[in-house]
Amino acid sequence: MHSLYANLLNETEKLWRQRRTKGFLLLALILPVVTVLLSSLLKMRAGMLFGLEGSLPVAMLHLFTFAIIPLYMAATAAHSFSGEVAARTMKLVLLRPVTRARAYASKVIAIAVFAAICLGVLWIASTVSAWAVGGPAGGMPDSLKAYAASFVPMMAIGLVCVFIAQLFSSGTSALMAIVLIYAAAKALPLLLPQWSAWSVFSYTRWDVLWTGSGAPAGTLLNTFLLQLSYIIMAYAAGLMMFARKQL
Amino acid sequence: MRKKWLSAGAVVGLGAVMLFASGYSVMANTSGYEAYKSAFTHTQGADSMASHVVWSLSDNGTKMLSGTADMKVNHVKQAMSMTAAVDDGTRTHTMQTYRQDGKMILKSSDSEVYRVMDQVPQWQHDGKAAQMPQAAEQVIEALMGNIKDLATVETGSDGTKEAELHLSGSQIPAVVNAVGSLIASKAGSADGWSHGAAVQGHLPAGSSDWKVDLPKLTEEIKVEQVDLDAKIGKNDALANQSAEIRVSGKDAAGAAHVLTFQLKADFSGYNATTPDRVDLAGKQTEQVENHGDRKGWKHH
Repeated sequence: MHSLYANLLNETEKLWRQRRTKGFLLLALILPVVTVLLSSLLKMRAGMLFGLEGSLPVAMLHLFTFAIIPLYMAATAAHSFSGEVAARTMKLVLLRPVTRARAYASKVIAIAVFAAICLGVLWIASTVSAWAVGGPAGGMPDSLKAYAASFVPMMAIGLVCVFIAQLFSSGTSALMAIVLIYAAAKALPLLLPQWSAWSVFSYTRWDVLWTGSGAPAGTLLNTFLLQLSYIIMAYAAGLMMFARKQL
Repeated sequence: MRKKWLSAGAVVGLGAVMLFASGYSVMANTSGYEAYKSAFTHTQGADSMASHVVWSLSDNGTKMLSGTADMKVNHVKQAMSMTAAVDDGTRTHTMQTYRQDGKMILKSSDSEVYRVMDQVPQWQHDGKAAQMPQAAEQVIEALMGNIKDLATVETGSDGTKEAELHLSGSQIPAVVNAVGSLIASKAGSADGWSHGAAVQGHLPAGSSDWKVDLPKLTEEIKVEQVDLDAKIGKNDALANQSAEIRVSGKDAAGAAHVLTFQLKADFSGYNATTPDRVDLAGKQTEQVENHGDRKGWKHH
């Protein structure tokens, strides 16, 4: 288990050293503040209202779960797997006293850690900035629940990204493939609405089922199991390919 | 190595089984939304029907404005009749509307004059109420996303169904919140309000003396709750539909307000409704030009 922990530290450090990760976290910190400033400015100047004070944390969450976090995870998965193969640094990982299964696990966990940190930073930044412009604080437990629930669909999408990244041996092509697949999957409900329930990508707003009066327990369980099955399949299939990869 | 393959394959297989089991249940669970959608389509597609609508708008529990509307529509005969009343607490204003023989006839309780419009407004030309285009429906569905999963349906022992969609707090989409806040902030100015009411046909356009003392919300406006409940009859069309929307906010003086809009509509007489007619013989009439009555979709 120590090898997993040690390699997790390595992978987290590697991700943290990348400008992408810092920019991503900075975005989570700045975007809510900028949005609140812009909307207050518009309200003062033009009397326009967006009703954002109360819903800012959740509106931000939906923006991030729709595009920003999946994009970060896609870029990171592409870089951390296919990119490292292309740069021939993957060998350095595998030369350490760590099994391939654990190397894979630590890379996946490192991505999850940054997705979770982003959600945390975003929640704090948006709650504080909504509170600063006089938003009601009553929705705090609700938005906290929404943020916690959002971690599940983000993990499912992240692992699908990791799986797709195994198919490529260049970071750029992996990223392009993931982005194309993601865009196509997001357009699916427009073309085949009845099939969208099957797609893991249509659960980026899963948190709405948890807040407020909430969805019936059966719906919560079923949608959770659906995402869990994607998590299991993508993880196992990705691991299978990673373990057999010729370097 | 072979054993590893087997175990990994087994895990993927297990995931696939789980995916199928849960996916089918999830699909079955969207039935609340689907049931409502099909009932809504049936309601719109009915040849004739009668509806009775009661609505009210209250501020911190005090009724500010309320109204009723009785409407009979027959798409085959291209006829409709409607009696609408609006009550602001001190007086009641009634408005009668008829559509017969290709003419629109309006009469307000303020005068004895029947105003006749030769040209039937654009939105009724095609006989049936404008249907939402398929593409628009799919875009709205896609935007709703997981909110669809919140709709539930319960089938009663008599074959009727109760469908409901209750949204509160952060479940309410940002778009709805923004639009709701905008309406709530504009509703306070009497000008904006009477214009909106005139478009809905409850008030004659240009009745500028009609003022409602709604609070003008300026701060912390938020759509708190949207409750939609519908009863679907055995004929798979809506039997009744109720809606409640709650918006909270503060006015310029800092006083907190909760505006509640309630609407309850009963639908009956499917394919068996004959609209009332008005006999204009011997009555005072006035010909009016129909100008640009083409705002939005008009349902029923």
